[in-house]
Amino acid sequence: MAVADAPATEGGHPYRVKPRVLESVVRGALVGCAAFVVATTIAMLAFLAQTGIKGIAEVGLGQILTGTVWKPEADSFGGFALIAGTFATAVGAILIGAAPAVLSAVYLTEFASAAVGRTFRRVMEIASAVPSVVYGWLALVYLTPLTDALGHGIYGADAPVSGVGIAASAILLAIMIAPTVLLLSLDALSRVPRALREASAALGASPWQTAFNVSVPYGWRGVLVAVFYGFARAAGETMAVQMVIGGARRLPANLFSPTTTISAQIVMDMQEARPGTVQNDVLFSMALVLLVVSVIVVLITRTLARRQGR
Amino acid sequence: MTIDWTFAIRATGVAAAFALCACDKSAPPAPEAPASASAAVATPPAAAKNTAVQISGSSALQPLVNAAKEKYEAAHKEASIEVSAGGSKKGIADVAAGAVQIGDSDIFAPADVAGQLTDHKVAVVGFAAMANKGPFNEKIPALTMADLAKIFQGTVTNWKDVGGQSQPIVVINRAPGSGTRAVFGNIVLGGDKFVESQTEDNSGALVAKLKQSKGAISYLALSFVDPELKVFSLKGDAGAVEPGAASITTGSYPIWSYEHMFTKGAPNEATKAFLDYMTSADFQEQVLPTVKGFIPVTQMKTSRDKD
Repeated sequence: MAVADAPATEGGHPYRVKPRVLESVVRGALVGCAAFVVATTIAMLAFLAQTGIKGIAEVGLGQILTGTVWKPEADSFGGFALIAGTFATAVGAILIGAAPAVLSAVYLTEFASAAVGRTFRRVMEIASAVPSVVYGWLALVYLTPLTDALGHGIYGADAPVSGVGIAASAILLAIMIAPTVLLLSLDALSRVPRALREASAALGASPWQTAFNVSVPYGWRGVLVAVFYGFARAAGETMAVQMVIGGARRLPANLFSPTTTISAQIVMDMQEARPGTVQNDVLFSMALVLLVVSVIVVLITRTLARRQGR
Repeated sequence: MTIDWTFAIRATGVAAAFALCACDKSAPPAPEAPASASAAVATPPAAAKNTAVQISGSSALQPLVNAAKEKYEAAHKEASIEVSAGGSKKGIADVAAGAVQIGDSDIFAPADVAGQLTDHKVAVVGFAAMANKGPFNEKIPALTMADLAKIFQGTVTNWKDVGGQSQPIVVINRAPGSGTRAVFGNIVLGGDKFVESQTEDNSGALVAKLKQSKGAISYLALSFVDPELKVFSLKGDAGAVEPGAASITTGSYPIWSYEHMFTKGAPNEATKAFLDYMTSADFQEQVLPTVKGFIPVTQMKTSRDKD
C-alpha cells in the first residue's frame, strides 16, 4: 500500500494523512491482540513447566514415569499406571474408532451422492460438538452395563470384572473421536484432484478401483493426520473418561477392571493439592507429561501434513 | 478516496472491536481472582462481608448443614449460606487457606493446621459398611471387624467366603480426601490400608453406584442409609450390634466420628451467628434429631479427642 501511495504523498490531498494514522492505530491494535494471545500461551506453558519441573526434581523423573504406586496422600508418586491407562485408552479408541471413521469418509467422498454426503457431514459436525460430559454420562448409564456383561461373558460370571475400565473408556473415546477423524479424513480425501479421478475413470477403472488405487493412496497422509489428531484428543479427554474409568490407582488386571488415566487422576487429586506442596508440584509434572505427549503427536501430525502439501 | 474513507471507517470499527476484546480479556483476572480462589458462587462483595457464609468439605455432614441452612435462612432473610461438598480434607484445606469461612470435616484437623483452626463439634455420626442388595448377601446380617478388614483390604473377594452365595465382591472406595474413608479406615483397618479399587468422590454418587453395581460394597455415613442398600451390623463377642443412635451413644458400636466445623481465627459476624445457631439447644434438640443419622454431641456417653 505504501509503495502505491508514495508518489501522491506530496500531491496535497487534504485527507491523505488521516487514513494513515488510523491505519497505524488499527495495526497497533491487531499487534497488541496477537501479542496478548501469544503472551498468555507462553505464560501458561512457563508456569506449567516451572511447577512441573519442580515436581520432577522433587520426586525424580524415573519414579514419576515408572513407579507403580500412585498415592499422593502417602507421598508416593509412581505415575506408570496413569500413563499406561492414558495410552491404553487412546490406542484402544483408535483401534476401535479410526477404521470405521476413515472408511465412512472413503464411502462419502467416492461412492455416496452429494445429498447423502452433505447430510452425513452435518450430522457428524453436530456429533463432534456434543460436550464430553454428555458422552460420559450416557456411557455411564448405558455403556457400562454392556461392558459389564461382556466382561462376565469373557471371564465367567464369578470373575472379578466390572463395567468400568479400559474397555468402557476405549469404546466411549472411539465414539467421541470418530466424528472428528471422519470430518478431517473427508477434508483430506476431498483434496484429491478431480482430474486424477477422471483420468482413472477414463482408463476404465471402476469407482471401487479409483477409490482404493487413486484417492486413498493420494490422500493417505491427510487421513493419518486425522487419526493422529483423534489420538491426541482421546489422550487428553478428561471428563467423560473419569466417569467410566473407575478411578483405581493401579494397573488393571484386565480390560474390565478399574484403573485411571493422567487427566482423570489430575481431576481427582487436585481438590486436595494445596499450592506449594509436593503433591501439587507432581500433579503439574503429570500435566507436563500429558502436554509433552500431545506436543509430540502434534509435531508428527504437522510433519505429515506438510509433506502432504508438497 | 471515498474508498479510503470507507476503509478507514470500517477499520476504526474493527480496531474498536479488537480494543474492546483486548480489554475484555485483560480486565477480568483482577476481579475474578478472589472468586475463583474461593471456588464458590460469586457474591457481591458487600454481601460476602456481612451475611454470606461459605462452607465446604465433608459430604457426610452436608445433609445436616443443609437442614440448618434451610431453617436459618427462613428465619434470617438477609443470610446466605453456601454449602459445597468435596471431602473433609478439602474442607480443612479450604478453611486453612482462607477460601471459605467454615470447613466441614469428619476428622480432627491434622497437626500442621490444627493450631490455626477452631473446632466446633456440631454432631456425631455413625458409619457402616453398606452393600448392593442381592441373594448373595441376604443371609449375612452382620460382619465381624476382621471380615470387614479382609474385604476392604482385598484379601476376601467373594461373598461366599463371608457366609453368602458365590458372587465377586466389588469394593468401591471413597477418594483419599474423604473423611468417611479416613474414619472407617482408622477404626476398621487401623489406617488407610484399603485395596486400590473403583473410587467415588462423593457420598451421594456412591449410593447410586452401590445400587447399580452387583456385588458392590463400600462404607457410608448413616445419614445415607437407604432401603435399597444392605447395611451391615457389626458382629462381636456379645452378638451383632446394629449401627444406630442407641449403640453409638453407649460406645458399643465403635465406627463413629464427631462432625467438625472448623473456622480460622475469629469468625466474622455472619459465620459466628450461623455456628451459634447450629450449636444452640433449639437446633440440637429440635432439628438435629429429625435429620437421619445424626446424634447430638451432648447425648454421647463416650468421647474421643483424636481419630
